[in-house]
Amino acid sequence: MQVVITGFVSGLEISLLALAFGVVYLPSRVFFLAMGGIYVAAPFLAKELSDRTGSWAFSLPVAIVSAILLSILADLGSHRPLSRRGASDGAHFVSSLGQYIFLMQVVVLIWGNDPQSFVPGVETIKTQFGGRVPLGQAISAAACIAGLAAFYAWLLLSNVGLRLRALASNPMEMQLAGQSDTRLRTVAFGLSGALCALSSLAAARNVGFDPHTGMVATVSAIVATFIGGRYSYWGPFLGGLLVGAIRAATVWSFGTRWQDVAVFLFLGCCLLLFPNGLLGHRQRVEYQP
Amino acid sequence: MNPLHLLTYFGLYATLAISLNFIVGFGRITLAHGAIYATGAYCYAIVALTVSRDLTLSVPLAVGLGVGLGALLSALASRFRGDQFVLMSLVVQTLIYEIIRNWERAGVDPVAWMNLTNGTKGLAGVPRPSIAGFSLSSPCALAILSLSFACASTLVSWILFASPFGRVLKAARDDEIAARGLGKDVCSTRRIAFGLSGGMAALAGVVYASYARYVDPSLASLDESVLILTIVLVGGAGSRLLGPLTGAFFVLAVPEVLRFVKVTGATASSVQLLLYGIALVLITHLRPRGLAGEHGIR
Repeated sequence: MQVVITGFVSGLEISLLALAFGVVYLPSRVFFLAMGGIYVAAPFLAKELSDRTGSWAFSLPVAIVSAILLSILADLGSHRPLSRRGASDGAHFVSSLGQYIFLMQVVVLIWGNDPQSFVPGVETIKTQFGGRVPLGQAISAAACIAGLAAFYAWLLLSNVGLRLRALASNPMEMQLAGQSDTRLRTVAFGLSGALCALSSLAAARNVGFDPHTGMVATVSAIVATFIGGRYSYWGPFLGGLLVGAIRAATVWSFGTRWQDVAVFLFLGCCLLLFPNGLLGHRQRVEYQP
Repeated sequence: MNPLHLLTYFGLYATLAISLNFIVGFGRITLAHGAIYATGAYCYAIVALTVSRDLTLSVPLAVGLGVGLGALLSALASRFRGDQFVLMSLVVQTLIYEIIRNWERAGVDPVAWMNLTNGTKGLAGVPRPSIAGFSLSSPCALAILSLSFACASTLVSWILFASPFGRVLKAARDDEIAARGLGKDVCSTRRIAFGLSGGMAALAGVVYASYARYVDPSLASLDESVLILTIVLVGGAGSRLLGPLTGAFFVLAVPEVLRFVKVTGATASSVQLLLYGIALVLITHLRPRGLAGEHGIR
C-alpha cells in the first residue's frame, strides 16, 4: 500500500508538471525546457520570502506569480520573436535550453548548490489507507489534486479554455477565424508557469529541493507527456500517473537504481508502438502536425 | 594557464564538435552524444586496466562501439523525426548512463565482470596510453595525440563534406523527399554519417580517459550531451570546419577569460554555464547559423 501511495503522489506531481509542459506544447509546439529553470527557482524564492517575512501565505502566492511572470517573459523575450520570424522547432528547443541553463545558474549563484527543505527536522507521519503518509506527502497530493481539478475545470468550462483547446487543435483555423493566437499563447505560458510552480512547491514540500532537480523533473514531465499523448490535454495527466506508478513498482521490485531505466524503456516502447502516445489517435504521416 | 592542457582539451572538444556536426549539421538534434563519448572513455579505461594500455587495441574497440551506437541512433532517426527523435536519443542516453552507473557490485574488484564500471565511484588510476610500445605519458605527447585525433577527424569531415556523400546529406537536410525522389540513398548515407559521428565521439572519449586517468558516470550525463551540443550550436552547425573549431575555442576561452577577471572556484563554474546559456539564447536570435556556421538550426 505504501508503494501505491508513494507512486500515486509522485504521479500527481509529474502529471501537474507534464500539464505545464503540455499546455505550452499543444498550442505553440514549443519544447518548453525553460520550465526546468522556473521549477528550480520557485521553491527557493518561496523559502527566501518566507524566511524574510515569516509568512507562507505571502511567500507561496508571490512565488507562483513570479513563476507566471518568468514564464510569460520567456515567451515575450524569446519564443514569440522566434515564432514571428518563422524559426524552426529546433531553434525554440535550443533557445529554451539556454533559458533553462541561465535560470538554473542564477539560482545556484544566489542560493548555492545545497539541498534544502521547507520544514526542518522530522516530518509528522499519519497512518492512512493502510500506509504511512507523511504530512508533506499529504499536502503535496492535496495541492496537486486541487491544481489539476482547477485546471481541467477552467479548460472545459471557460470560454478562454475552449479557445485554448481550439488553438491546440488547429492553430491555422483559429487564425483564419480572426482569433488572436498571441494573447492565447500568453495565457498558455502563464498557466504553464503557475502549474510548474505549484508542482515544484508540492514536490519541495514532499521531498525537499535543490538547484539540480529542474532538468530531471522536466525530462520526467516530457516523458509523461509523450507517453500519455502529446496532442491531448488528458495525455500528460495519464502519462504522469503511469510514470509515477512505473517508478514506484520498479523501486519496489528492483530498487531505486533502475527506476529511470524502467521509465525510459517504457517510453521507448510507447514511441515505437504508439508514436502519438497512449491517448493519441493513429493518423497518416502526412496529416500529423 | 597551462598551454598543453588547453591544447589537449581543444583537440578533444574539436573532435567531439566535428563528430556531432555530422548529426546536428544535417538536421537532427541528439542528446545521446555524451553517452557515446563516455562509452569510448570507459572502453579505453577498462582495456587499459585489464588487458593493455596500447591504443592499437583500445581504439578499434572504442571506435567499433561508437559506430555501433551511432548506427543504432541512425536506425531511430530513420523512424522518428523532430521532437520524437530527440526523445529517443534521450532514451539511449539514459540507458547508457544508467548501465554505467549501476554496473557495480560491492566487495568485487573494479573492472571485474560483475563490477565492470565500478558504478558511481568510477574507475581511477587509468594508465597512460602507449602506441606500439612507445609510451605517451608526458603532457606534450598527450596533447599531440589529442590534436592528431582532432586533425584526423577534421580531415575526414573536410573530405566528406566536399564529396557527393556530403552533398546527399545536405540535400536530405534541406528536402529529404526531393533527395529520395532523385534516387539518392538517404538512409544509407545518414547511417554512415551517424556511424562516423559515433566513432569520432568514442575516439574523443579515449583521449579524455587517457588524459584525465579517471572516468565516472557524469561523463555520460545529460549535462555532458548538452555541453557538446552547445559547442556545435555556438560554433555553427553544418559548417565544414570553422564552426566546430570556433565552438571548441569558445568553450575553452570562457573559463580562461573568467580566470583573467578573477572569477574563480565554484562561482566560475556557475558563471561559465550561465554564459553558455546566454550564448545559446543569443545565437538563436541574433545568429542562428552560429558564430561560423553555414546553416541555421533546424
